[in-house]
Amino acid sequence: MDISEIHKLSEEALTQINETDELLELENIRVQFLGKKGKITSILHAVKDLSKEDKPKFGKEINIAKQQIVKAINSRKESLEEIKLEKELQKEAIDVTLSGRSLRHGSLHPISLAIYEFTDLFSEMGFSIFEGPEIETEYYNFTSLNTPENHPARDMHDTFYVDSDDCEKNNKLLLRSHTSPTQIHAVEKFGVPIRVLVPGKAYRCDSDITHTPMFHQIEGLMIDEKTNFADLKGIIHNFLQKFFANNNLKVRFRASYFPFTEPSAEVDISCIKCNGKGCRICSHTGWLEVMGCGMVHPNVLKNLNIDPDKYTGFAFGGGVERFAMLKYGIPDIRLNFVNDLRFLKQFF
Amino acid sequence: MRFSENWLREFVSPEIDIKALENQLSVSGLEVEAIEREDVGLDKVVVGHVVDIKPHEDADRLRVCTVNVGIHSDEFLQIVCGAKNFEKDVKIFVAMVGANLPCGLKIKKSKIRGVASFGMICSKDELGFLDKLEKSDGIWVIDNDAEIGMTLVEYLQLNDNLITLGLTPNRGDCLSILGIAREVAALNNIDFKHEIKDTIKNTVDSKAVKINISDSKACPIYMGCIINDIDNTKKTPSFITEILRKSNIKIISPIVDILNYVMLEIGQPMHAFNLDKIGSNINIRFAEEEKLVLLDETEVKPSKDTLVISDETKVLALAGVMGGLDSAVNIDTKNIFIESAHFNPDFILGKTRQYGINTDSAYRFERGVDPKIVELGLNRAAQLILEITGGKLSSISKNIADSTVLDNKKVDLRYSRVKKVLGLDINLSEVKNILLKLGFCLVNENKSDNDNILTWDVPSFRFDIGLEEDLLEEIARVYGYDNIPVKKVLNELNFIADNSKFNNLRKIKNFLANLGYLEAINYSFVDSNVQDQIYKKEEKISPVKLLNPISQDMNVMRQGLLPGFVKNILHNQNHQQHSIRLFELGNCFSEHADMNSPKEYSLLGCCQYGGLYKDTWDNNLKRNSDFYDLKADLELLFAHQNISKYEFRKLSSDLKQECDYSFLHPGMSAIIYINNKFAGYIGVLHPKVQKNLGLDKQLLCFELDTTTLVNNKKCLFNDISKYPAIHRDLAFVVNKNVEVDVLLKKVRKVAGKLLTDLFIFDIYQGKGINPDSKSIALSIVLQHKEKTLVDEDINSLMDEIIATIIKECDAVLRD
Repeated sequence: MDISEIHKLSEEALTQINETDELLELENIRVQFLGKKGKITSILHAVKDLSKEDKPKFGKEINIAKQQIVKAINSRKESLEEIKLEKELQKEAIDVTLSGRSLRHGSLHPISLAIYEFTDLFSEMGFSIFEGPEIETEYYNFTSLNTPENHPARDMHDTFYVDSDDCEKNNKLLLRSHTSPTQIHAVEKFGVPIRVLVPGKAYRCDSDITHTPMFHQIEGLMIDEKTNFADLKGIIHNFLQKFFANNNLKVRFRASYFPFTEPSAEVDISCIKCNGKGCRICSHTGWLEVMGCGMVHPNVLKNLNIDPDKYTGFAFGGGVERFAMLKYGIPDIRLNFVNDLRFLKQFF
Repeated sequence: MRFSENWLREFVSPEIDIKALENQLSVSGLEVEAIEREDVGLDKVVVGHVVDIKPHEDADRLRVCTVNVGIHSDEFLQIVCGAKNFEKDVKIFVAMVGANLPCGLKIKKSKIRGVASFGMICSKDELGFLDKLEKSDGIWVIDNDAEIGMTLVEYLQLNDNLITLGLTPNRGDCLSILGIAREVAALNNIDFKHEIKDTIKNTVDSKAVKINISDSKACPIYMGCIINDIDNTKKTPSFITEILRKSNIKIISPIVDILNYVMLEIGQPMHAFNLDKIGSNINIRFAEEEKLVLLDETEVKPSKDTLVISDETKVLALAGVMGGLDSAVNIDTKNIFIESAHFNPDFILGKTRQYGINTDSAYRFERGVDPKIVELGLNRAAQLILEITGGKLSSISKNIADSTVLDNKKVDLRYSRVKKVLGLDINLSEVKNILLKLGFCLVNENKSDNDNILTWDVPSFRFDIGLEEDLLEEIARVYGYDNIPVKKVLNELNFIADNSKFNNLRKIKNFLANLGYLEAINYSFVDSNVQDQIYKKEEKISPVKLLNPISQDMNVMRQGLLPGFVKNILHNQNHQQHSIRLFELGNCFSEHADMNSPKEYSLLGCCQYGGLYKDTWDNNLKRNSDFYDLKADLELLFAHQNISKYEFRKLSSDLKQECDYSFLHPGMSAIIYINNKFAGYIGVLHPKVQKNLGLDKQLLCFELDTTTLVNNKKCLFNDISKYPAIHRDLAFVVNKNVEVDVLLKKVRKVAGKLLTDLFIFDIYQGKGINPDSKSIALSIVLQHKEKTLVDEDINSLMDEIIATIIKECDAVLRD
C-alpha cells in the first residue's frame, strides 16, 4: 500500500463528483468509493493487515480521504438538488396575466344604493325606517292627507286604480301615488313624538322621458313639541350636503304647495354639474329641484287625533331616481327599469 | 300661464331686473318655468315700403322689387322675390344683409339669375311668427301706417320677456296679470295699479234674457248682457292681439279675442253666444239626457252631474268648460249675449278629464275665480266690444242666487305661532304689512297676556286660505324662505320602529350581490298574457287588475317576480348577454276569493340563465347553469341567514302546495319549507313554457317569501370539541328513485348528537350496478364533546346505521 495510491483514489473520486450533473450518478459514485465494496472501504479493510507502525499512518490518511469525499458528495448533492428544484419551479411557472378562473360580478341596483344612503344618514339623526303597503285606499293616499275628493291636487297625481269588487264605494283601492300615506300608518302605529323615514315604490299613470309609471320615493316625518320650519331647513340642508358629499352645496327653499303641508316648500340645490353657473342639466337656472317639504298640515294632525297647538312637525320627500341619477350621472330615468346587465353592473 | 313682462310692468314695476324677478317669483311659490325672448335674430329686420316691382327678365316666377327702408340705407334696396301675394305700395318686413333669422337663414348680398339682391322680403314663417296651426300665405303684408325703417322689434314691441309660470293648483288667483301684479307688489313692498275703470250703462232696453239658476251652490252668480249690431269682421286691434299672441292664445275674431284678453287681464272667463241662435231664457242646470256638439266639433253626452247652460229647448254649453258649436259667435254674427258667471270649483273639477278637453276657462274655474269680478269682467268686455266692433248695448241681466259667496272668510292668526311653527323672529308690524299687501284686511286685534290674536278678512280671490297655517305660509313666503334660519336639530334620539327586517333584507341583498347576482328592479305591473302563462289562474287566487293601466302590457299587478325576470332575460339575450344572474326583492300582489282586499307580500327571487360563468378560459367551467348551481347559492343564503331547518320537497310529493306549479319542470323543481313552513319554490322553467316565452335556454329560478327568510335567531357560540373526530365512509345500493334525503335523515336520527358532519361524496350509476339502482356514498363524521371515541362505540353505531338503512330503505351495503 502506498500513500500516493490513497491520494490518487481520493483525487479520482473528487473529480468524478465534481463532474457529475446527476443525483443518481452521484449516488453511484458514493457506492463506488464508499459503499460496502467501495474502493475506499476496501483499502480501509486492508489496513488491518498492515504493520503496527503503518496502521495509524495509513488509517489516518484513508479517513481524511473518506471525509473529503463525503463532504464533496454532500455539497455536490445539495447543489444538484437546488438545481433540480429550480428546474421544477421553472417548469411549474404559469401565465400570471391570465385572469382568475371565473369572473362573476354582482351588484346592488343604484336605486337601492341611494335608498341605503338615505337610511344611513337619517338613522344617524334618530330616524327609524318604516315601510307600508303599495296598494292603498283612497283614504290613506288622499283624504287623510288633506286632499278631499275633487281636490285639484288629486289631478296632479294620475293615479292607478285597482279593480276590486269588494271594497267600499267611497274608499277605492289604488296604487299609492306617493309614499306619504305610510306616514299616516306610522303615526297610527307609534303615535307622537315620532321620527320615521319611509322608502318605497310609488305609481303614477305617467310615462315619458322624465317619468316612469313606477318610481321610488323616500319620505321623512318628524313630529314633536318643538319642531319648526327652521329645524326642517337645518335637517334638509345637512342631509343634502352629506348625500352629495359637498359642504359648499347651496340649498334653496322655494314656496310651493302640497295639500298635506303648510307652509310648503320645494327644495333646490345648486347644480351639481356646473356649481350654479347654469348648464343644460339645470336648464341654465343654476338650480336643481330635488325634493318637497313642509310643516305637517293641521288637518293631517287632526285626522290623527293630534293637537296641532301642542305638536308641530315637518315632512319631506323626494324621488329616489332623481337622487340616484344625479349622484351617478344616469341620463334617462327609464334605464333604471330595463335591467340591462351592462347597466346594472356599473354600480356597487 | 305665459305673459309679457312689459304688460306686467304696466301694472307694477319693481326696480329689479328679469333675473331677480324670476328668482323672486320662483322662491315665493310662483315657479318660473321659462323665460323667452322674441327678438333673437330679428335685429336687422325692418319695415320696408315697396316702391316699385318689375318682372325678372330671366325668370317668370321671380320679380325684382325696389324697397325703401328709410334710414337704414341711402338708396332704395333692390330685392329679388318669388312671392306674388303683394303689389306695389304695400309695407312689408325686409331682412337686410347681415340678418341672421330665427329660422336659420343668413341674409347675404347675392345674385339671383343674374340680378343682384340686397335682402329678403319675409313671410311670417321665415320670421318665426307662425304658430303651428296657421298656414303660411306668402309675404307678411303689414298695416300701411307702419313707419318705414322701424325695426320689427320696435314695431311689435318684441323687446320683452315672456314669462311662463307653472302654478300650483292652490294659486288660481295668479292666472291673470292683475293677480300676478298683486303678488309682485307684495313681494317688493310697493303698490300696484289695480283699477280697471270701465263701467257701462244700458243704452237701449229691448228684450232681456231671463236667467234661471237651478242650483245656487253650483252657480251662485250669473250675469249677461246683449249687444246688438256688432261688426265682427273688423280687425282686432294690435294691443289685444299682441297680448294674446304673447300668452299663446289663438287669434280668432274680435269678440272672442276681447273676451280672452279680459280673462288674461283680470281673470274672469266669459263666453259669447250668438243671440240669434238662443232662446230668451238661459237656464243653468244639471244635464239631462241630451247631446251637445262643442266648439271643437266633438259631440258629448253630458253626465247627470255636469252643469250645463241651456235655453228653453236645447243645451248650449258645458258650464265653465266650453260652448256649443251651434250658438257660437263667428265673423258674420250681428247680435250677441255675453255670459259672465261664477261657478263653484267643486262642480267644474274633473270635467276636463271626463270629457278630455282642456280650456283656459275650465282651468280657471276649477281652481276658483274671484266671485267679486263677475260684473267687472262683463263691464270691461262690453266696453271693449262697443269700442272695437261697434253696436249697441241693450239689456243687462243678473241673477245672484247665492250672495254668501261674496262674503269674506275670516281667519285668526296667533302671533306666537309665527315663532313656534316657523322658527322665525319677526315683528308684529312686519307680519301685518305682509298680509295687508297681499290684500288681506285686518278686522280685529285682540291682545292677551302672552299673545296677539289678529283676525283677518280673506280676500275673495284666495280660495286656498282658510286656516292659521295658511296665513303662516303667506308670511314665510313673502318674508322669504331664505331668510328663515337654518337650525341644527338637537332633539333627543328616539328609535321607535324596529329596523331589523329592513337591515336583514339589506344584508341578504349584499350577500347575493357578492355571490355574483345583479339586482333588478322591475315594474310592479306586468303583461297578463305573460303572467297567465306562468302563474296559472286558479279558482281562489287571481291577479290584481288595474282599472286604468298605462298600456296593455302593464295591465295587471305581478303575482311573483318571474315575469319580470323573463322580460329582463329576453332583453339581455337580445343584447348579446349570455350569462345572466339576477335577483329582485319586491312586493307582489294577488286577489284571494276569501279576502276583502288584495294580498300584498314581499318576495325574494333569484334566477340564473345561460353560462354558469361569463367568459371563462377554463373548459371545466364552460357549461350552462343547472339546478344544483342555483341550489348551492340558496343553501349558502340559508347558512348566511343562520337557517338550518329547511327542506326541499319534490313537486308531486307535496299535496298541500298552495299554488299551481305546472309552470315548472316536474322533475327538476322543488317546494321549499323553512322551519316546516311553506316558503317558496326552486326549479327549472317547464320546457313548454320556456319555449312559449321565447327563451332559448333553461331558466332556473327560486322565489321565496321574505318573511320566512328573515331570521332573527341569535348567533350563539358552540363549544369546539377537544377530542378527535372519526371519519367513516359507507356506500349503499338503492333503487334509483330513492332520494338521498331519506338516507341522510336516517343517519341523523341514529347518530344523534355524535354526528358533526354528514355529506354525500359520490353518486354512481353504471357498470357493476343494476340499471334500476344507484350507489350512494356517504361520509360520516363523528365526534364526542367530552371523550375520545373508541372503536367499540363507533362500530356499534355504524352497525346500527347500516342495519337501519338496509332495512328501511331496501338498500344493500356496497363493499
